Amino acid sequence: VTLSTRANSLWETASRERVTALVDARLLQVLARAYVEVPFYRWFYGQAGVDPRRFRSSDDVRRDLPFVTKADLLAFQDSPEWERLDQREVRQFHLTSGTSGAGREVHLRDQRDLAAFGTGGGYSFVWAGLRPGDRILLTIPYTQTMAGPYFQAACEAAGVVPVNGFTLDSETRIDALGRYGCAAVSITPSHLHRLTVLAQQQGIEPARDLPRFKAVIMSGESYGVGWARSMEAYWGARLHEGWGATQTLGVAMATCARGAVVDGPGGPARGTLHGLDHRCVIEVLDGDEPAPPGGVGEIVITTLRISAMPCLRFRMGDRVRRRAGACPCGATFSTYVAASIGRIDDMMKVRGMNVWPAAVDAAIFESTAVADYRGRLLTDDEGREQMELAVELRPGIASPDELQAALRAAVKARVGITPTVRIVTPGGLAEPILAGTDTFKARRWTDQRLGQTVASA
Amino acid sequence: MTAPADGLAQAAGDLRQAAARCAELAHDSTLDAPLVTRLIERVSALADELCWELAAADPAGSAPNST
Repeated sequence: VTLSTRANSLWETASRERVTALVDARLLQVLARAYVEVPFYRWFYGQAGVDPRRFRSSDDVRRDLPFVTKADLLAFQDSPEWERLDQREVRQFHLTSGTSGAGREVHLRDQRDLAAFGTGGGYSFVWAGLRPGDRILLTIPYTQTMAGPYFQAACEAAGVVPVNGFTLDSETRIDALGRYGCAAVSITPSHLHRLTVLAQQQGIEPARDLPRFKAVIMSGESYGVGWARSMEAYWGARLHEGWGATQTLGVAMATCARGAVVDGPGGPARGTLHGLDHRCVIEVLDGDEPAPPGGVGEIVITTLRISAMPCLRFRMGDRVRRRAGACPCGATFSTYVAASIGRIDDMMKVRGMNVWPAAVDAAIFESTAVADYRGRLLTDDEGREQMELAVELRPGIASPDELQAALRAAVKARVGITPTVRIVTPGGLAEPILAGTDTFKARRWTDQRLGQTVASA
Repeated sequence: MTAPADGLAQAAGDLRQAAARCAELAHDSTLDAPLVTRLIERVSALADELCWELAAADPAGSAPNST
């Protein structure tokens, strides 16, 4: 991989001054248009008593434009305004996953959105070294969420040929990598780990069996640097990362050609995610104030290329660490630390699904026999992600076998994942970890997947 | 900014205008060809996207005014 890999040098190497000037001008146009033409914003800003047409600079926007949250979008969908929407220009619609239990956002798309749909992913693919005609195995599910059509559009934008592995099992996906001469795979880190274990068990040597394979494009979960290097060593491919969401119409940040893990002075280090600043304004806020370079904050996005349902100062609920300096690749886009993206709330990604501890709490504590529990996420010897619950019973409770089965079923029904359940006698659990000195929120969960050991949620 | 990129941005702007003209003609005519109308809609949207990706090269800064 050469450092000169560019998807569009016109933007990637433009001066910050020029990018800022064009983006600021576009930002004001987008706000004014949204207020006039997008029903949600007429409703939302009308309720807030804000007319964004009066803004004269991006400073005005950052100071005075209210944030939008998922709750705001859901409230609009429940309002009579939603029923009256003119949807004649709608060409697709995409739902958010809805596993929070709060509800599913509906994002309408018009023809302009479809034309812009894959461009962000196209940047990611080109930066990963993919070229027209290269083939990529797609493993992210194709459902009513945006992911499926998005990856197809990203392939089209970059001229990359999709190998649709959504419905294949793990063994068949490994077979498809060789059978179709794939150059890349798009995959979650946890599933990459699973495929790696299986491929090693099958005696596959990528250098011999997958001669065209050169890139792994990950999304959806975090990962450790040591783990990433071990994956690169086995697959003989560079690991890359992309971040985006339904609200951003796909990728808004991606690693450059240097990849997700790079050589640092003290060994492997996290690579750099670049924001596609000309398509999506990314704010990183600590509370409501900008996080400093090197600091961590919530990602707040303002889309510049979405027509039907732009997201303007939308609080994503994801956090990221800003990189303190420029990237050696020479791109002038904003910089963030690879593998630093996680949730600011306590959501966990398990087997690609969003799991909120509150949902597990609800399932477990439905049983009056339960005193408390601890959860652990781990990667087993077969590379599968597992959820393990240690459940402490109240004194005098019998029939633990029946209770185990009932708790497994209850968690499966609530969050879609069947855990292993271990019954602990009264007093057998350690005290919960406290989330911080300013809170008494108990952290019941430990994440030990992919070389990480972090207390969470 | 390079001269070829400037020319490209100008040509992309012309393409967008041509697509808009096609849309006007299709709208005004009695043409019974919904798929042609759709093709025009798609070309027009792609021309917008092209203009935006070229906007950094557009010395007049006109490309952002696409919507």
